[in-house]
Amino acid sequence: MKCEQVQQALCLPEESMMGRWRSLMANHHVANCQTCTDFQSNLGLIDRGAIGLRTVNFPVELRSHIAARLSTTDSAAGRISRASDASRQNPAGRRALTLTFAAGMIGLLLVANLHNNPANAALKRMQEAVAVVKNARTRLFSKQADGTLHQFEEEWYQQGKWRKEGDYGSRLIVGNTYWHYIVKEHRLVSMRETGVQRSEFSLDALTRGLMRANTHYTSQTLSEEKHGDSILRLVLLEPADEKQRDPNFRNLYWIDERTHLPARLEGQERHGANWAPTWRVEFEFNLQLPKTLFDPQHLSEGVTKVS
Amino acid sequence: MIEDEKRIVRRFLSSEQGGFESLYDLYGLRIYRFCQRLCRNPSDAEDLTQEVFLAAYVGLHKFQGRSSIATWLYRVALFRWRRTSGAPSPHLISMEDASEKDMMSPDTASGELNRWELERAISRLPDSLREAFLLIKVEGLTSREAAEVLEIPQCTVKFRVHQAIVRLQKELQLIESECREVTGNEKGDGNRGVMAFLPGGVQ
Repeated sequence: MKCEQVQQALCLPEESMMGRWRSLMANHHVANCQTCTDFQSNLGLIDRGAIGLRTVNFPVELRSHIAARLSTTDSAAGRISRASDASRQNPAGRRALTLTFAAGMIGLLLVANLHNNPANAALKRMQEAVAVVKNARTRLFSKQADGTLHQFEEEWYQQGKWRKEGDYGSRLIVGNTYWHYIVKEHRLVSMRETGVQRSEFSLDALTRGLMRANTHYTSQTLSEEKHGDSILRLVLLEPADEKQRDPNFRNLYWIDERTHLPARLEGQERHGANWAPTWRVEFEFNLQLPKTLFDPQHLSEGVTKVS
Repeated sequence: MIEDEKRIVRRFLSSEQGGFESLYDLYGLRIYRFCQRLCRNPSDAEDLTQEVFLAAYVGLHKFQGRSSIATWLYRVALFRWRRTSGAPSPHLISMEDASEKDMMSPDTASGELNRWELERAISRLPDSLREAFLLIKVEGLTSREAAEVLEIPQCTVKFRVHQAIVRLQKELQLIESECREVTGNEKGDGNRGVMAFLPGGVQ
Protein backbone atom coordinates (compact mmCIF):
# COMPACT_ATOMS: atom_id res chain seq x y z
CA MET A 1 0.00 0.00 0.00
CA LYS A 2 1.12 3.53 -0.69
CA CYS A 3 1.47 6.16 2.01
CA GLU A 4 -1.39 8.20 0.61
CA GLN A 5 -3.79 5.26 0.66
CA VAL A 6 -2.88 4.45 4.22
CA GLN A 7 -3.14 8.04 5.36
CA GLN A 8 -6.53 8.51 3.72
CA ALA A 9 -7.76 5.45 5.56
CA LEU A 10 -6.33 6.80 8.81
CA CYS A 11 -8.18 10.10 8.31
CA LEU A 12 -11.56 8.38 8.25
CA PRO A 13 -10.93 5.06 9.99
CA GLU A 14 -14.56 4.24 10.69
CA GLU A 15 -15.42 4.74 7.03
CA SER A 16 -12.41 3.25 5.33
CA MET A 17 -14.18 -0.10 5.08
CA MET A 18 -10.90 -1.88 4.86
CA GLY A 19 -11.18 -5.59 4.99
CA ARG A 20 -9.23 -7.50 7.59
CA TRP A 21 -6.42 -8.25 5.19
CA ARG A 22 -6.05 -4.65 4.01
CA SER A 23 -6.31 -3.45 7.58
CA LEU A 24 -3.43 -5.69 8.56
CA MET A 25 -1.44 -4.44 5.58
CA ALA A 26 -2.10 -0.83 6.61
CA ASN A 27 -1.03 -1.50 10.18
CA HIS A 28 2.07 -3.21 8.92
CA HIS A 29 2.81 -0.26 6.65
CA VAL A 30 2.44 2.28 9.49
CA ALA A 31 4.66 0.20 11.74
CA ASN A 32 7.40 0.27 9.12
CA CYS A 33 7.00 3.78 7.74
CA GLN A 34 8.20 6.73 9.77
CA THR A 35 6.26 9.19 7.60
CA CYS A 36 2.96 7.45 8.25
CA THR A 37 3.78 6.93 11.92
CA ASP A 38 4.33 10.67 12.28
CA PHE A 39 1.23 11.38 10.26
CA GLN A 40 -0.86 9.15 12.53
CA SER A 41 0.56 10.82 15.62
CA ASN A 42 -0.16 14.33 14.34
CA LEU A 43 -3.55 13.26 13.08
CA GLY A 44 -4.49 12.24 16.62
CA LEU A 45 -3.60 15.72 17.86
CA ILE A 46 -5.60 17.40 15.12
CA ASP A 47 -8.59 15.11 15.68
CA ARG A 48 -8.65 15.88 19.38
CA GLY A 49 -8.14 19.58 18.65
CA ALA A 50 -11.01 19.55 16.14
CA ILE A 51 -13.35 18.02 18.69
CA GLY A 52 -12.30 20.74 21.11
CA LEU A 53 -13.42 23.31 18.54
CA ARG A 54 -17.01 22.16 18.95
CA THR A 55 -17.35 24.45 21.93
CA VAL A 56 -17.92 28.04 20.83
CA ASN A 57 -19.27 31.21 22.37
CA PHE A 58 -22.82 30.90 21.18
CA PRO A 59 -24.46 34.34 21.24
CA VAL A 60 -27.59 34.04 23.30
CA GLU A 61 -29.31 37.00 21.73
CA LEU A 62 -29.06 35.48 18.26
CA ARG A 63 -32.23 33.51 18.83
CA SER A 64 -34.25 36.64 19.48
CA HIS A 65 -32.71 38.40 16.50
CA ILE A 66 -33.74 35.59 14.20
CA ALA A 67 -37.13 35.37 15.84
CA ALA A 68 -37.62 39.09 15.33
CA ARG A 69 -36.74 38.83 11.66
CA LEU A 70 -38.94 35.81 11.19
CA SER A 71 -41.81 37.56 12.89
CA THR A 72 -41.67 40.29 10.27
CA THR A 73 -41.97 37.74 7.52
CA ASP A 74 -45.45 37.14 6.17
CA SER A 75 -47.54 34.85 8.32
CA ALA A 76 -44.59 33.89 10.44
CA ALA A 77 -45.75 35.51 13.59
CA GLY A 78 -47.39 32.42 14.92
CA ARG A 79 -44.22 30.42 14.61
CA ILE A 80 -42.37 32.53 17.09
CA SER A 81 -43.38 32.15 20.66
CA ARG A 82 -42.87 34.97 23.06
CA ALA A 83 -40.45 32.68 24.83
CA SER A 84 -37.87 33.99 22.40
CA ASP A 85 -38.14 37.39 23.94
CA ALA A 86 -36.79 36.03 27.19
CA SER A 87 -33.42 35.55 25.63
CA ARG A 88 -33.27 39.25 24.92
CA GLN A 89 -32.91 39.78 28.62
CA ASN A 90 -29.81 37.62 28.72
CA PRO A 91 -26.67 39.59 27.98
CA ALA A 92 -24.34 36.62 27.86
CA GLY A 93 -23.76 37.08 24.16
CA ARG A 94 -21.87 40.29 24.56
CA ARG A 95 -18.86 38.87 22.87
CA ALA A 96 -20.79 38.86 19.68
CA LEU A 97 -21.14 42.58 19.83
CA THR A 98 -18.00 43.51 17.98
CA LEU A 99 -17.01 46.71 16.38
CA THR A 100 -17.92 45.21 13.07
CA PHE A 101 -21.48 44.98 14.25
CA ALA A 102 -21.51 48.34 15.90
CA ALA A 103 -19.68 50.16 13.20
CA GLY A 104 -21.82 48.29 10.76
CA MET A 105 -24.64 50.48 11.79
CA ILE A 106 -22.66 53.30 10.31
CA GLY A 107 -22.55 51.31 7.15
CA LEU A 108 -26.26 51.33 6.94
CA LEU A 109 -25.80 54.90 5.91
CA LEU A 110 -24.20 53.78 2.75
CA VAL A 111 -27.38 52.10 1.73
CA ALA A 112 -29.59 54.69 3.35
CA ASN A 113 -32.29 56.27 1.35
CA LEU A 114 -30.87 59.78 1.33
CA HIS A 115 -33.73 62.18 1.05
CA ASN A 116 -33.20 65.84 1.51
CA ASN A 117 -33.83 66.15 5.23
CA PRO A 118 -31.60 67.48 8.03
CA ALA A 119 -30.96 64.07 9.56
CA ASN A 120 -29.82 62.56 6.29
CA ALA A 121 -27.68 65.58 5.53
CA ALA A 122 -26.03 65.16 8.93
CA LEU A 123 -25.41 61.48 8.25
CA LYS A 124 -23.89 62.27 4.90
CA ARG A 125 -21.58 64.87 6.45
CA MET A 126 -20.63 62.35 9.10
CA GLN A 127 -19.73 59.80 6.45
CA GLU A 128 -17.39 62.33 4.83
CA ALA A 129 -15.89 63.43 8.16
CA VAL A 130 -15.09 59.90 9.31
CA ALA A 131 -13.22 59.21 6.09
CA VAL A 132 -10.56 61.81 6.92
CA VAL A 133 -9.97 61.33 10.64
CA LYS A 134 -6.38 61.19 11.89
CA ASN A 135 -7.12 58.62 14.52
CA ALA A 136 -9.99 57.16 16.46
CA ARG A 137 -10.82 55.62 19.78
CA THR A 138 -13.91 53.48 20.19
CA ARG A 139 -15.31 51.97 23.34
CA LEU A 140 -17.85 49.18 23.14
CA PHE A 141 -20.40 48.41 25.80
CA SER A 142 -23.08 45.79 26.27
CA LYS A 143 -25.83 45.26 28.78
CA GLN A 144 -25.18 43.20 31.87
CA ALA A 145 -27.68 41.03 33.73
CA ASP A 146 -28.37 43.90 36.12
CA GLY A 147 -29.21 46.20 33.24
CA THR A 148 -26.06 48.30 33.44
CA LEU A 149 -23.68 48.70 30.52
CA HIS A 150 -20.28 47.05 30.71
CA GLN A 151 -17.33 48.07 28.55
CA PHE A 152 -15.90 44.94 26.98
CA GLU A 153 -13.65 46.34 24.28
CA GLU A 154 -11.61 49.42 23.56
CA GLU A 155 -9.96 50.10 20.22
CA TRP A 156 -7.63 52.69 18.79
CA TYR A 157 -6.87 53.37 15.17
CA GLN A 158 -4.04 55.39 13.73
CA GLN A 159 -2.18 55.34 10.43
CA GLY A 160 -3.31 51.94 9.33
CA LYS A 161 -2.86 50.32 12.73
CA TRP A 162 -5.49 48.95 15.04
CA ARG A 163 -4.89 48.33 18.72
CA LYS A 164 -7.55 46.37 20.57
CA GLU A 165 -7.85 45.73 24.25
CA GLY A 166 -10.62 43.87 26.01
CA ASP A 167 -12.26 40.54 26.61
CA TYR A 168 -10.42 39.04 23.65
CA GLY A 169 -7.07 40.16 25.06
CA SER A 170 -4.48 42.55 23.70
CA ARG A 171 -4.23 42.66 19.94
CA LEU A 172 -2.59 44.72 17.27
CA ILE A 173 -3.23 44.72 13.54
CA VAL A 174 -0.73 46.28 11.22
CA GLY A 175 -1.35 45.75 7.55
CA ASN A 176 -1.92 42.07 7.20
CA THR A 177 -0.01 41.12 10.34
CA TYR A 178 -1.94 40.23 13.44
CA TRP A 179 -0.30 40.35 16.87
CA HIS A 180 -1.84 38.76 19.90
CA TYR A 181 -0.59 38.58 23.44
CA ILE A 182 -1.76 35.36 25.06
CA VAL A 183 -1.92 36.15 28.74
CA LYS A 184 -2.36 32.59 29.94
CA GLU A 185 0.74 31.44 28.12
CA HIS A 186 2.62 34.68 28.66
CA ARG A 187 3.41 34.68 25.00
CA LEU A 188 3.35 37.13 22.13
CA VAL A 189 2.55 35.78 18.70
CA SER A 190 2.15 37.28 15.28
CA MET A 191 0.83 35.85 12.10
CA ARG A 192 -0.32 36.62 8.63
CA GLU A 193 -3.86 37.86 8.87
CA THR A 194 -6.11 35.99 6.51
CA GLY A 195 -9.43 36.90 8.00
CA VAL A 196 -11.47 40.03 7.76
CA GLN A 197 -9.60 42.14 10.26
CA ARG A 198 -9.27 45.72 9.20
CA SER A 199 -6.19 47.88 9.00
CA GLU A 200 -7.93 50.93 7.68
CA PHE A 201 -10.50 53.25 9.09
CA SER A 202 -13.25 54.37 6.80
CA LEU A 203 -16.92 53.78 6.56
CA ASP A 204 -16.32 51.57 3.59
CA ALA A 205 -13.87 49.40 5.54
CA LEU A 206 -16.04 49.30 8.60
CA THR A 207 -19.07 48.23 6.69
CA ARG A 208 -17.49 45.43 4.77
CA GLY A 209 -19.80 42.48 4.99
CA LEU A 210 -22.84 44.54 5.72
CA MET A 211 -23.52 45.70 2.24
CA ARG A 212 -25.18 42.45 1.45
CA ALA A 213 -28.00 43.51 3.70
CA ASN A 214 -29.12 45.67 0.81
CA THR A 215 -31.66 47.36 2.98
CA HIS A 216 -32.82 50.93 2.61
CA TYR A 217 -32.98 53.07 5.70
CA THR A 218 -34.60 56.30 6.63
CA SER A 219 -33.55 58.71 9.32
CA GLN A 220 -35.04 61.49 11.38
CA THR A 221 -33.74 63.91 13.98
CA LEU A 222 -35.23 63.21 17.38
CA SER A 223 -33.60 66.04 19.27
CA GLU A 224 -30.56 68.23 19.65
CA GLU A 225 -28.67 68.06 22.95
CA LYS A 226 -26.06 70.45 24.28
CA HIS A 227 -22.92 68.80 25.70
CA GLY A 228 -20.34 71.36 26.82
CA ASP A 229 -19.35 73.32 23.74
CA SER A 230 -20.90 70.82 21.40
CA ILE A 231 -24.38 70.29 20.13
CA LEU A 232 -25.20 66.66 19.50
CA ARG A 233 -27.87 65.79 17.00
CA LEU A 234 -29.74 62.65 17.96
CA VAL A 235 -30.68 60.74 14.81
CA LEU A 236 -32.94 57.72 14.62
CA LEU A 237 -32.13 55.27 11.86
CA GLU A 238 -34.66 52.63 10.84
CA PRO A 239 -35.48 50.43 7.85
CA ALA A 240 -37.49 52.19 5.19
CA ASP A 241 -39.70 49.15 4.90
CA GLU A 242 -42.05 49.22 7.87
CA LYS A 243 -42.33 45.44 7.82
CA GLN A 244 -38.67 45.19 8.68
CA ARG A 245 -38.92 47.46 11.68
CA ASP A 246 -38.98 46.03 15.16
CA PRO A 247 -41.15 48.21 17.36
CA ASN A 248 -39.18 47.11 20.40
CA PHE A 249 -35.72 48.02 19.14
CA ARG A 250 -34.16 51.10 17.66
CA ASN A 251 -30.73 52.41 16.68
CA LEU A 252 -29.60 55.93 17.39
CA TYR A 253 -26.66 58.15 16.48
CA TRP A 254 -25.38 61.16 18.33
CA ILE A 255 -23.60 63.36 15.82
CA ASP A 256 -21.47 66.32 16.82
CA GLU A 257 -22.79 69.26 14.84
CA ARG A 258 -19.46 71.08 15.06
CA THR A 259 -17.17 68.30 13.80
CA HIS A 260 -19.83 66.25 11.98
CA LEU A 261 -18.31 63.17 13.62
CA PRO A 262 -20.28 60.50 15.47
CA ALA A 263 -20.06 60.70 19.25
CA ARG A 264 -22.13 57.68 20.09
CA LEU A 265 -24.04 54.86 18.50
CA GLU A 266 -26.57 53.00 20.56
CA GLY A 267 -29.05 50.17 20.27
CA GLN A 268 -32.06 50.55 22.52
CA GLU A 269 -34.81 48.27 23.69
CA ARG A 270 -38.30 49.33 24.65
CA HIS A 271 -39.35 48.98 28.26
CA GLY A 272 -42.95 50.11 28.44
CA ALA A 273 -42.95 53.77 27.58
CA ASN A 274 -39.18 54.11 27.98
CA TRP A 275 -36.12 53.01 26.04
CA ALA A 276 -33.02 51.44 27.59
CA PRO A 277 -29.64 50.83 25.91
CA THR A 278 -28.64 47.24 25.14
CA TRP A 279 -25.32 48.11 23.54
CA ARG A 280 -23.34 51.25 22.86
CA VAL A 281 -20.28 52.42 20.99
CA GLU A 282 -18.62 55.68 21.97
CA PHE A 283 -16.33 57.42 19.52
CA GLU A 284 -13.54 59.92 19.94
CA PHE A 285 -11.42 61.23 17.14
CA ASN A 286 -8.16 63.06 16.49
CA LEU A 287 -6.55 62.40 19.86
CA GLN A 288 -2.92 62.46 20.99
CA LEU A 289 -2.13 58.74 21.15
CA PRO A 290 1.19 57.39 22.51
CA LYS A 291 3.36 55.58 19.97
CA THR A 292 3.77 52.64 22.30
CA LEU A 293 0.09 51.89 21.83
CA PHE A 294 0.91 50.51 18.39
CA ASP A 295 4.19 48.84 19.29
CA PRO A 296 3.90 45.04 19.55
CA GLN A 297 6.67 44.94 22.13
CA HIS A 298 4.37 46.87 24.46
CA LEU A 299 1.32 44.77 23.74
CA SER A 300 1.52 42.88 27.01
CA GLU A 301 1.55 45.98 29.15
CA GLY A 302 -2.12 46.70 28.64
CA VAL A 303 -3.48 50.18 28.55
CA THR A 304 -3.99 52.14 31.71
CA LYS A 305 -4.88 55.58 30.49
CA VAL A 306 -5.02 57.26 27.14
CA SER A 307 -5.80 60.96 26.96
CA MET B 1 -35.58 11.42 8.03
CA ILE B 2 -36.24 10.43 11.60
CA GLU B 3 -39.66 11.00 13.13
CA ASP B 4 -38.50 13.82 15.43
CA GLU B 5 -37.16 15.80 12.51
CA LYS B 6 -40.41 15.36 10.58
CA ARG B 7 -42.34 16.58 13.57
CA ILE B 8 -40.07 19.61 14.00
CA VAL B 9 -40.33 20.58 10.35
CA ARG B 10 -44.10 20.16 10.45
CA ARG B 11 -44.36 22.35 13.54
CA PHE B 12 -42.08 24.98 12.08
CA LEU B 13 -44.02 25.19 8.83
CA SER B 14 -47.48 25.00 10.29
CA SER B 15 -47.01 28.03 12.52
CA GLU B 16 -47.24 25.98 15.66
CA GLN B 17 -46.21 27.69 18.84
CA GLY B 18 -42.56 26.92 19.54
CA GLY B 19 -41.85 25.56 16.08
CA PHE B 20 -38.93 27.88 15.48
CA GLU B 21 -37.55 27.29 18.96
CA SER B 22 -37.48 23.53 18.43
CA LEU B 23 -35.64 23.86 15.15
CA TYR B 24 -33.24 26.39 16.61
CA ASP B 25 -32.61 24.38 19.77
CA LEU B 26 -31.63 21.38 17.71
CA TYR B 27 -29.52 23.03 15.04
CA GLY B 28 -28.80 26.64 16.07
CA LEU B 29 -25.48 25.97 17.74
CA ARG B 30 -24.22 23.65 15.02
CA ILE B 31 -25.13 26.01 12.23
CA TYR B 32 -23.69 29.04 14.03
CA ARG B 33 -20.46 27.16 14.75
CA PHE B 34 -20.12 26.15 11.11
CA CYS B 35 -20.91 29.69 9.96
CA GLN B 36 -18.38 31.16 12.36
CA ARG B 37 -15.60 29.07 10.93
CA LEU B 38 -16.65 29.77 7.37
CA CYS B 39 -16.83 33.52 7.96
CA ARG B 40 -13.91 33.66 10.43
CA ASN B 41 -15.82 36.39 12.19
CA PRO B 42 -18.56 36.16 14.86
CA SER B 43 -20.51 39.09 13.55
CA ASP B 44 -20.69 37.76 9.99
CA ALA B 45 -21.47 34.32 11.41
CA GLU B 46 -24.51 35.75 13.18
CA ASP B 47 -25.70 37.34 9.96
CA LEU B 48 -25.20 34.12 8.06
CA THR B 49 -26.95 32.04 10.71
CA GLN B 50 -29.90 34.40 10.51
CA GLU B 51 -29.96 34.00 6.77
CA VAL B 52 -29.92 30.23 7.08
CA PHE B 53 -32.94 30.16 9.37
CA LEU B 54 -34.78 32.70 7.27
CA ALA B 55 -34.04 30.59 4.23
CA ALA B 56 -35.28 27.57 6.15
CA TYR B 57 -38.51 29.38 6.82
CA VAL B 58 -38.96 30.32 3.18
CA GLY B 59 -37.74 27.10 1.63
CA LEU B 60 -38.24 24.29 4.09
CA HIS B 61 -41.46 23.25 2.40
CA LYS B 62 -39.24 22.21 -0.52
CA PHE B 63 -37.28 19.96 1.79
CA GLN B 64 -38.01 16.43 0.62
CA GLY B 65 -36.58 14.51 3.50
CA ARG B 66 -34.05 12.58 1.45
CA SER B 67 -31.30 13.93 3.67
CA SER B 68 -31.36 15.13 7.25
CA ILE B 69 -32.42 18.66 8.11
CA ALA B 70 -28.95 19.25 9.49
CA THR B 71 -27.39 18.38 6.15
CA TRP B 72 -29.85 20.63 4.39
CA LEU B 73 -29.14 23.54 6.75
CA TYR B 74 -25.38 23.09 6.39
CA ARG B 75 -25.80 23.20 2.63
CA VAL B 76 -27.84 26.39 2.82
CA ALA B 77 -25.16 27.95 5.03
CA LEU B 78 -22.36 26.91 2.73
CA PHE B 79 -23.92 28.10 -0.49
CA ARG B 80 -25.11 31.37 1.01
CA TRP B 81 -21.66 31.98 2.38
CA ARG B 82 -20.07 31.28 -0.99
CA ARG B 83 -22.48 33.63 -2.65
CA THR B 84 -22.24 36.51 -0.19
CA SER B 85 -18.50 36.28 0.32
CA GLY B 86 -17.96 36.34 -3.39
CA ALA B 87 -16.08 33.11 -3.03
CA PRO B 88 -15.22 31.58 -6.35
CA SER B 89 -16.33 28.09 -7.16
CA PRO B 90 -14.57 25.59 -4.96
CA HIS B 91 -10.81 25.68 -5.25
CA LEU B 92 -9.85 22.38 -6.76
CA ILE B 93 -6.71 20.70 -5.57
CA SER B 94 -5.07 18.94 -8.42
CA MET B 95 -3.51 15.57 -7.95
CA GLU B 96 -0.19 17.14 -8.94
CA ASP B 97 -0.41 19.29 -5.82
CA ALA B 98 -0.58 16.20 -3.70
CA SER B 99 3.04 15.48 -4.32
CA GLU B 100 5.11 13.13 -2.28
CA LYS B 101 6.71 15.98 -0.36
CA ASP B 102 3.26 16.94 0.90
CA MET B 103 2.98 13.54 2.39
CA MET B 104 5.95 14.22 4.61
CA SER B 105 4.46 14.78 8.01
CA PRO B 106 6.16 17.30 10.24
CA ASP B 107 6.06 16.76 13.93
CA THR B 108 3.77 19.67 14.63
CA ALA B 109 3.54 19.47 18.36
CA SER B 110 4.74 17.47 21.24
CA GLY B 111 1.71 18.09 23.47
CA GLU B 112 -1.91 18.90 22.79
CA LEU B 113 -2.61 21.54 20.18
CA ASN B 114 -3.22 25.12 21.10
CA ARG B 115 -6.81 25.83 20.13
CA TRP B 116 -6.01 29.25 18.79
CA GLU B 117 -3.20 27.97 16.62
CA LEU B 118 -5.44 25.27 15.23
CA GLU B 119 -8.12 27.87 14.44
CA ARG B 120 -5.52 29.95 12.63
CA ALA B 121 -4.24 26.98 10.71
CA ILE B 122 -7.76 26.01 9.64
CA SER B 123 -8.49 29.54 8.52
CA ARG B 124 -5.51 29.39 6.19
CA LEU B 125 -6.74 26.31 4.36
CA PRO B 126 -8.13 26.73 0.85
CA ASP B 127 -11.91 26.94 1.03
CA SER B 128 -12.53 23.54 -0.52
CA LEU B 129 -10.31 21.78 2.02
CA ARG B 130 -11.54 23.86 4.93
CA GLU B 131 -15.17 23.08 4.16
CA ALA B 132 -14.53 19.34 4.01
CA PHE B 133 -12.41 19.35 7.15
CA LEU B 134 -14.94 21.38 9.16
CA LEU B 135 -17.86 19.20 8.15
CA ILE B 136 -16.10 15.92 8.90
CA LYS B 137 -13.77 16.63 11.78
CA VAL B 138 -15.46 19.48 13.61
CA GLU B 139 -19.13 18.94 12.80
CA GLY B 140 -18.82 15.19 12.89
CA LEU B 141 -20.62 14.43 9.64
CA THR B 142 -19.94 11.23 7.78
CA SER B 143 -18.25 11.51 4.41
CA ARG B 144 -21.56 10.65 2.80
CA GLU B 145 -23.34 13.49 4.59
CA ALA B 146 -20.50 15.87 3.81
CA ALA B 147 -20.70 14.83 0.17
CA GLU B 148 -24.40 15.77 0.18
CA VAL B 149 -23.64 19.15 1.70
CA LEU B 150 -20.79 19.91 -0.68
CA GLU B 151 -22.49 18.25 -3.65
CA ILE B 152 -19.36 16.36 -4.60
CA PRO B 153 -18.56 12.64 -4.72
CA GLN B 154 -17.79 10.89 -1.45
CA CYS B 155 -14.30 9.92 -2.60
CA THR B 156 -13.54 13.58 -3.26
CA VAL B 157 -14.56 14.42 0.30
CA LYS B 158 -12.14 11.82 1.62
CA PHE B 159 -9.37 13.14 -0.61
CA ARG B 160 -9.98 16.68 0.58
CA VAL B 161 -10.03 15.74 4.25
CA HIS B 162 -6.72 14.00 3.81
CA GLN B 163 -5.26 16.98 1.97
CA ALA B 164 -6.61 19.30 4.65
CA ILE B 165 -4.85 17.34 7.36
CA VAL B 166 -1.59 17.26 5.44
CA ARG B 167 -1.75 21.02 4.97
CA LEU B 168 -2.81 21.62 8.55
CA GLN B 169 0.28 19.83 9.77
CA LYS B 170 2.41 22.12 7.62
CA GLU B 171 0.53 25.24 8.69
CA LEU B 172 0.83 24.32 12.35
CA GLN B 173 4.54 23.92 11.94
CA LEU B 174 4.71 27.28 10.18
CA ILE B 175 2.69 28.97 12.90
CA GLU B 176 4.92 27.51 15.53
CA SER B 177 7.99 28.83 13.76
CA GLU B 178 6.32 32.25 13.47
CA CYS B 179 5.75 32.21 17.21
CA ARG B 180 9.39 31.37 17.75
CA GLU B 181 10.43 34.26 15.51
CA VAL B 182 8.36 36.68 17.52
CA THR B 183 9.22 35.46 20.96
CA GLY B 184 12.69 34.24 20.27
CA ASN B 185 11.74 31.21 22.30
CA GLU B 186 10.67 27.69 22.05
CA LYS B 187 6.94 27.16 22.24
CA GLY B 188 5.51 27.45 25.71
CA ASP B 189 8.59 29.00 27.23
CA GLY B 190 7.56 32.42 28.40
CA ASN B 191 10.51 33.11 30.65
CA ARG B 192 13.13 34.18 28.19
CA GLY B 193 13.72 36.53 25.25
CA VAL B 194 11.11 39.14 24.40
CA MET B 195 8.80 38.03 27.17
CA ALA B 196 11.42 38.04 29.88
CA PHE B 197 10.76 41.58 30.99
CA LEU B 198 7.02 41.26 31.07
CA PRO B 199 5.28 41.54 34.40
CA GLY B 200 4.00 38.18 35.48
CA GLY B 201 0.57 39.29 36.46
CA VAL B 202 -0.47 40.97 33.24
CA GLN B 203 -4.12 40.39 32.47
